[in-house]
Amino acid sequence: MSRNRQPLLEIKGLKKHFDISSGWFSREQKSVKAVDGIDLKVYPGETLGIVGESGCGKSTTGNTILRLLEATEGQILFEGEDLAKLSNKQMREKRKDIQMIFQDPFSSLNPRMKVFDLIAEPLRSHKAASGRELKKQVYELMETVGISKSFAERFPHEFSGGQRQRIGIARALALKPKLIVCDEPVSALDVSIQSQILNLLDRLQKEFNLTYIFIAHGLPAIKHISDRVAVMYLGKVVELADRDQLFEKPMHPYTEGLLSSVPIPDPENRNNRERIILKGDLPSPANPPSGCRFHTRCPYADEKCRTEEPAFSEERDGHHVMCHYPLKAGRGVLVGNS
Amino acid sequence: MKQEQPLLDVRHLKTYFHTENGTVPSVEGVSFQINKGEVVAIVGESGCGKSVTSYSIMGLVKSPGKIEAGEVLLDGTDLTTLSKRQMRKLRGNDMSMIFQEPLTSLNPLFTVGFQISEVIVLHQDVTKKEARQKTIEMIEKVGIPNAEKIYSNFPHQLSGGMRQRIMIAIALACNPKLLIADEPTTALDVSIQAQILDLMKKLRKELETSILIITHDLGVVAEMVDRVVVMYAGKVVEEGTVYELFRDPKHPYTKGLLESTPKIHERKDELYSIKGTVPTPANMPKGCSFSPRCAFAGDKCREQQPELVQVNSGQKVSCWLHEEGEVSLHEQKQTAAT
Repeated sequence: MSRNRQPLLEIKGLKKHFDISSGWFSREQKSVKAVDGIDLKVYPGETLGIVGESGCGKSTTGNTILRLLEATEGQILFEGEDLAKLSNKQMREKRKDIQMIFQDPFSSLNPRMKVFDLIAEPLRSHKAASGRELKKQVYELMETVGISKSFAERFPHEFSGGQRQRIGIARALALKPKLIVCDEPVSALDVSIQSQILNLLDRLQKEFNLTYIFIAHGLPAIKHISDRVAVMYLGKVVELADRDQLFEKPMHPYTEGLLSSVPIPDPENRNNRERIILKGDLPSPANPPSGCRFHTRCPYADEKCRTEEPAFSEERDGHHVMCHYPLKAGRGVLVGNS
Repeated sequence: MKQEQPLLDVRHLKTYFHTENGTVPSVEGVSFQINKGEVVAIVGESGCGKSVTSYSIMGLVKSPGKIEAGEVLLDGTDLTTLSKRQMRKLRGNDMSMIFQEPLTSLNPLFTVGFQISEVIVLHQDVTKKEARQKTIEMIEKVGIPNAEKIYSNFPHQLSGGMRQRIMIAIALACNPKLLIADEPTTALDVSIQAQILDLMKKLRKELETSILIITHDLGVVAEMVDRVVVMYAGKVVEEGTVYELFRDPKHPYTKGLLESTPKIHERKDELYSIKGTVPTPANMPKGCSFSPRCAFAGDKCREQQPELVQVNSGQKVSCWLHEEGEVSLHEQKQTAAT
């Protein structure tokens, strides 16, 4: 689809380690390898979903792209320019093009600011508009995200979670960005509100030709909104593929296990579905297992997996996987539930 | 089945919160039953009163909340008339509860072994040694290896999934007749959620405990339960067996909830969404409380409150659409579709 075009964002060998050495004189350098060498490309107009369980580094990846966290190593190329090398001032300029929507609409909005000022804030601080023009743009934004103009003078606490998330989206849209990093934008919301927000994001993408990086732990939401999906496990991308490929024919045993653990809202089939339940807990990212990081929980692991780290290789057209023994035919965990 | 007395019989329960800004009716006349060995779910979005219902059953509603009217019959005894002391004897022994957040519901200052044996010592006439033995059995029963070692661990040393297993062990230590699980897997990762659901299914078969699950996740409902109670704005709007409810929902709210859930095995361009948000108790609409959001609503719905009535052998619904006999919502035209 967009394979031949230039990527809008390209991440090369990105690493983010957090230092956790304790004590002043400690010789040992310990660190949590939250993101440990990932490569990703995001093409204009697409939605790249990043999915994984807590501690896999998906949010750290999002924060590092916007340089809310400084990368330890690696390149973040936005339209060919390395964001990691920019000065703070230059990066501030760049944030006009790259914006973020946060998970918790309760803590990400300043409770002392009115809705109008919240949405006007990015426009004001980047001197993008003022006076009558500012007013016009803010009201337009409110209309775009579905908040009545009459609410402009209200404070965030007067709104429900869904409406607050709409305010967050209006703020992100204000500077007409090219890329929006959505960090778990719907996980804090009720189901009926989730679908409203997902539909809104969908509509805005078409209307403003936006590119999304959609970070979430909920697989159904990821499947609904993404064009391509990256699955992360302990700081690494373990599988990357087109949405349908990934959900229908997963090649990494972790993806297969994840898909199979999602409860399906269909009671009729609950007893004849073969489930693969991943055993054990996520290992600590401070001390990841040797070899393949997933081998401690993998039902198919053998000696090679315990000692040798597999490469991230392209198995099929655009389908990358990090596994010594990628699953050949999709086992069809979801087949038969059409 | 029919003649047998239900284990739990909640009749016209009303729980109000008396706040400085007036009375908030959280639970407004809720009735339902749980038979022996049955798994029932209460579903609904935040603020619908599902958690308050469960707290009322357990006698855990704190001031300014108060049970205003109704009966909660457990094996024929009305719990609302019992003294605090009598309730304390029942809790943990005849009925027990597991909570959403396993970290905050365990005491960080005591070992998990102590916290499990505490329940056993309190309710059963056993020596310390026997209690310890029984505790270790319970730890093994909830699927934790190395029970001897885990016995003397503190909660912070365990992962989220392990903590939830400990909570289950505490709740089931005295083999209660009724287990209430308030969002037992919401705070957990998908792969861990699958493990916990699997464990609950296994224990249910083994111990024949009746379970009341409070959740907003329809996937969990479809996996686990026999019967579903759907709540909206403090009232039961629909009740039915899990199969009927998912196949042929009778209340427009239930239908909306089912359709707005993104499904992993389906592909839709746009998700169905219920417009608007849950009304706050302060501005509860006249007539049916769902009417402002309902696509089927007519004049009568905006005027009069419908009663919960039996529409077929397995389903009860409170909706004017079924006034003159059962109607299938799948065929019904949306009168006020906007």
